[in-house]
Amino acid sequence: MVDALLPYLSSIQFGKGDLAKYPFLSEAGSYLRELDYSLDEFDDASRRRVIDRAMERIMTTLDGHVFKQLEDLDTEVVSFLIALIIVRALGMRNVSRKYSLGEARRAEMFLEQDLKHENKANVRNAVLKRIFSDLFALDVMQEDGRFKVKVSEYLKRASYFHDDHWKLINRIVHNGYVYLDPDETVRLIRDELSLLIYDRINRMEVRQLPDSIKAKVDELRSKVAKHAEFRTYMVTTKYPPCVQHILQSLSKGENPPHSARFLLATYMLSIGRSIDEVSALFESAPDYNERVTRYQVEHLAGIRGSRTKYTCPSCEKAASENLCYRTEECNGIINPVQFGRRRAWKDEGAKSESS
Amino acid sequence: MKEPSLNLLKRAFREFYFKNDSYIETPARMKEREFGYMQFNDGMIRHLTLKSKNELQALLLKEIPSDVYCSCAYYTSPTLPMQEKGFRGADLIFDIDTKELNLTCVKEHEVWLCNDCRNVMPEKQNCSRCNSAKVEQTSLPCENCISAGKMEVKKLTKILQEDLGVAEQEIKIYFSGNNGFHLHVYSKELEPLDSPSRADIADYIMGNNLLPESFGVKKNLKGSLNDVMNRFPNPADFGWRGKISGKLIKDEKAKPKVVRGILKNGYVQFKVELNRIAKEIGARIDPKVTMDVHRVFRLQGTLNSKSGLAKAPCNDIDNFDPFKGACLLGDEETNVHVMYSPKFKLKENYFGPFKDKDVKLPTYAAVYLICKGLADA
Repeated sequence: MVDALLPYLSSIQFGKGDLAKYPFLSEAGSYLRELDYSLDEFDDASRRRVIDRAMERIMTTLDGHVFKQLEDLDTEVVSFLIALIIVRALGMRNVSRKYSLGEARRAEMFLEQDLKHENKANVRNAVLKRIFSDLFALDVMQEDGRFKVKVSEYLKRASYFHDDHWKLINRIVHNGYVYLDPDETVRLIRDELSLLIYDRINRMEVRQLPDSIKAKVDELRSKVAKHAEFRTYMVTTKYPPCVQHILQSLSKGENPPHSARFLLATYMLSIGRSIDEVSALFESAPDYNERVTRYQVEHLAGIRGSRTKYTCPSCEKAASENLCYRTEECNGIINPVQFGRRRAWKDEGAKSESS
Repeated sequence: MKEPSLNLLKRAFREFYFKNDSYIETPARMKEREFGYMQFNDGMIRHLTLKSKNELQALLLKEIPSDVYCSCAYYTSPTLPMQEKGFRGADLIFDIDTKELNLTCVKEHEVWLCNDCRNVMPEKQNCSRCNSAKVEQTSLPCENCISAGKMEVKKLTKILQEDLGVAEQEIKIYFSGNNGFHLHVYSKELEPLDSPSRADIADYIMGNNLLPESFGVKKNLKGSLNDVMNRFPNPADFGWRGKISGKLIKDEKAKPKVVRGILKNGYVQFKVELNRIAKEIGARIDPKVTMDVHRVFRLQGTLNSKSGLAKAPCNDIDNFDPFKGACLLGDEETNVHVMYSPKFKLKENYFGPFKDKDVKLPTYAAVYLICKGLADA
């Protein structure tokens, strides 16, 4: 019985080289335990290289790029772990989110390569079993060189993607399955992968850190501080509660839905904010891409594309999209844009009364 | 509604619920569902729970509701406010309304009723008697309407089975009790889907948002003929790619000519063509119903107050005649005054046409016209 299972079991295990690409897997953690590392060792000069590499992982990600270098299992697993410790010690939720998304994108790159590799059926099977199935409960099947997932499993993930390309109608659907190419299959789990790493960061226990790591935490803090100041400045009480709520969610590094981003951008444009100012509001979003965001904001402002200037959605529309956090101060307004005006008018009234 | 008409309807509905308790279906996992009902000349009462068939029967006989509803969703606590109910999944439901099919026959059997003075007019206009603008359409669907509705049901079940992998026994089809059909899908796999996922399914079924890029046709059309040829689907391909291809390409040899034509006419023209074909192939359902997981849907086997007909199961859709199979009220004759009615058929009997006439009709026909707003007891 065991003999019969052996070929199957060996086909779903990663080799060391492949495991290095996926340091978030529990196998990678077990490997590290076997090596018996102690954090104190990181003050040693010989270990500096791996700390620098951890820092490089973080900074590349925060700059919006994917960290592409791949070394041996030891270096990869340890630098990943140190990066988690640094980000956790910094304690800024938006940095944790952005770093998690960056690591997810890195893993996504390796996963795509592994799924595309026709001659490496064992790696492909290991990826599908250990990552897709075990970690994310997504059973991916293979049929004539294509991948397929159940319609319900596809919809749970892809119905939140913004592009029409992901709509079920634009996929190949048959007999309860959606057929996908390797890139698309991997994209399905990116968000879950990112959440897994985010969760891993939050579960990190940071007690007494060696000085070499502490120094990196301080360095990172000084680099991201200016963004944080900007955001605190932007969240003031002069905005309607729906807009404030979106700003707060962004400042926490969360990923507001498309409808919320649309409301925020059109609102800010209509009260006279510049393209630069509006684009900068989205900086802390985990999937922020400066070029894309700028283009989209310009599109909304009517500078690009159809040249239509988009107006801020009504309160009714915002409510239907679960974005409304109406307070007493909203009384009588039918569009978030009026909130500002009404307040301004009221404040002026109060001033003239007092004078 | 006037008192004598109201009394006639209540009497007929009570008699139906008294005599036909086995006809009313008890939905699966009843305790996890929210129930609601409408009262004659009154509002909606919902967020109720009914634990057994006996409780349901007691409610029907005590309240004599005009319409009875049950949630497609399963909840932990069905009676709590919506946000606190605890969503545990929902049946996938579809509504096909023949009024939305733009059928030409509708002109022959629709009339417009003034809400203020109940004047009946052949066309939509301000009331010719009191000049009120509050007019509403009422229609007595004909056999053609029902056939068209059945066609949509068949298109829908085909897509559900072939593409979405729903098994035949997981689908239950009902006549809605008035102008269309309801379809319930009981699938463990689809049950947990949220509203955006259901909206995506609705778009898939209707043929909305199909992209030319899915057929290899790009906006800038820079790809060579061969590129597009390689990506352009064949009729045997799965899903919408195959469906559209089947309409455009009669046989394999015609493909180069079709693709050349598409490239010549351009991206926008192809998109328009795609949408036109997709609308034709897709089933015309009401997407709002499918995507709304918190909706209460008419309970299977109960009466519809817009017609007095029942929401009746259609086990054999081809041979199902709603004017016979869903017409379940009594035959006892009663006097009514009919303002207007085209000729109609119920339980194999023809009635009308009538115009401002006192007539003696069997209860089922009298109730039908009263429910349509065309007669008074």
